[in-house]
Amino acid sequence: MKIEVMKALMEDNASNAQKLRNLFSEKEVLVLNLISSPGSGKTTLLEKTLAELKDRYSIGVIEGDITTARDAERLTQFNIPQVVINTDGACHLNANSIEKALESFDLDALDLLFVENVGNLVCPSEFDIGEYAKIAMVSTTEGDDKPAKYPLLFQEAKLALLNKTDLIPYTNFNSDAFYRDLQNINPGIPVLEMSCITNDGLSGWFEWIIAELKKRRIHND
Amino acid sequence: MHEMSVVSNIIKIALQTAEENNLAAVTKIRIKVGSQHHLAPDLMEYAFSFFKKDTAAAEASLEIKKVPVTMKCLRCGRTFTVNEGIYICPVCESVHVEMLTGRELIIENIEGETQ
Repeated sequence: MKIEVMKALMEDNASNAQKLRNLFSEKEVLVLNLISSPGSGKTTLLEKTLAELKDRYSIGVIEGDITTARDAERLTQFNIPQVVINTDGACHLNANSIEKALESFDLDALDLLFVENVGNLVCPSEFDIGEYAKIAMVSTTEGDDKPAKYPLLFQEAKLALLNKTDLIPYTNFNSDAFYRDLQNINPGIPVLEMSCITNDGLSGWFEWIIAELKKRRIHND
Repeated sequence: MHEMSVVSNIIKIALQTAEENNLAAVTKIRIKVGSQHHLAPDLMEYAFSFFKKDTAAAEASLEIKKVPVTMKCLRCGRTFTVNEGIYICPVCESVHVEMLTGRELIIENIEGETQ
């Protein structure tokens, strides 16, 4: 006996994520989901970003980590609300885990919420967590072939960050190949080049965030 | 690694469907997976053998149908299959394209026995 089912397999996560997206929109919280390989510089970028913006905006961070709280410890100096989600081996955050973490935040008081996803270019791209934007971060030392090898992330992302540009002279990173692949996969996606060590290009990132925060306010007013 | 969450959902939906239709055992589960998703078939099989244990789907097999990524060009109207990660129209080279298939992750149907 054959029974037609035709049900989406990620339906639970998708509907939960939509609920969160509505909540973030109503509370005017800009939620940015940072996705990259381990060691691309997500936590360093957050350190720089918090140092620059925390006096102007109310910012929270959700740290997704497989076992430790090491990334979160690096951010405690900023005195901002922060929650660590230890995934106990799971390779991604999902809408459920974000919903639980939200109990620790006062969303009415928050302008901006960063989610530092588990370091992984594959699985986090599959899971909608109700974010406004997925941000794909790559560092030059990983090689220029990341967009070609992990197209889903670069298609889902609203913005790509290329970090560690100061190291390009010491690597075989080919910028032309990187941009060509990226434009083939997600034509028109904006890319910000930066170095979190020399601070080159960081102002463009801050401006992008501030512009998105303003858009959100105007949209809701 | 997210094969685990996908497969646990497959089993959950299959068992629920079996119960609603008074099936005593599930023998086959057919799913459709768009090529946009990175799901390793061997991990899917492994997770499946693990999650189905001691359920009404213990003897079930999993059939995975791969769906290619196809796009439609919004300028010239041509449809094309994505090869080697190129999502630009191969005919007019337009970047204004939309995805027709490739994002599916669906449980299509199940087979089972009533007694």
